[in-house]
Amino acid sequence: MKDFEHLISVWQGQPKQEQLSVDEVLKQVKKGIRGITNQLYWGIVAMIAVLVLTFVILFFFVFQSWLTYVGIFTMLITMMLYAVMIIRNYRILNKRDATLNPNEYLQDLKRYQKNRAKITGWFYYIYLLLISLGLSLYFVEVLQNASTLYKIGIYSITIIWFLFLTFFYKKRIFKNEEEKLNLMIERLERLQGQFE
Amino acid sequence: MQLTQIAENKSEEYSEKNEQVALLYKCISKLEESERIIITMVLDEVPYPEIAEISGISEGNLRVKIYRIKQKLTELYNHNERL
Repeated sequence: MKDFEHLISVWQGQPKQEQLSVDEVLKQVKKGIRGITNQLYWGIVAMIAVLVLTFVILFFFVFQSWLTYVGIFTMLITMMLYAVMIIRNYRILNKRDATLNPNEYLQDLKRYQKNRAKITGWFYYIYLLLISLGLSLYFVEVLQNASTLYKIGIYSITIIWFLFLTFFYKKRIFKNEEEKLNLMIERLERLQGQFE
Repeated sequence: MQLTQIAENKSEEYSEKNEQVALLYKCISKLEESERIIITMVLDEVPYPEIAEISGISEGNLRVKIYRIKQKLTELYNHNERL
């Protein structure tokens, strides 16, 4: 037979549920998001630089074949689409402040997560396909007078770069970002639940 | 060898504690809502005047109520523990 004192000891012996401190969570979330937006910012800068370079090639170089122009335009449009997508994502993250409205901020993070999943999912493969197509068309004329060895070198580097992007960069970098994002969303959700 | 035994004993102790906590929760869930609120405050060692203020009962009535809930919960616990 157990008495009530025993029940008190059982109750008080249970592991205390970790209560999240609001300012601590917001600080962590803001720091994490700052990391992601910085990464996005440099992604946008790099994309704009490549776009400018493609424009320069398009307007200052003269090509014989119309296929080369099709190739350049394909790459240009694909890169523009990608740039628009990352700029949109950047704006989603920069739109609101976590302290002012945590609930709406949480919804924004979820929206960003969905958009990001699109970029790493089907959009990435379409992007890769169109860029490869554009590059292939571009290389036909540009490399027509090059030696076989040079051609093999250029094609190999391009293929290795794409493989690196698909199997290393995409998997590692995006996965890392996804984990961080999941953690932040989970923290904000727990914080929200704590007050209900 | 000794370390393994200590680890085993610790994990047994831990799972026994967990079982006891789960049983206590189960018994508390069988109480009425007002009883549940009062008893969790008692278990958290909230002072009686404070519980009286939160639950809106006079301290005299509360003491009687708490005595009954304690008895009910202890009985439930002992009964379920034997099962």
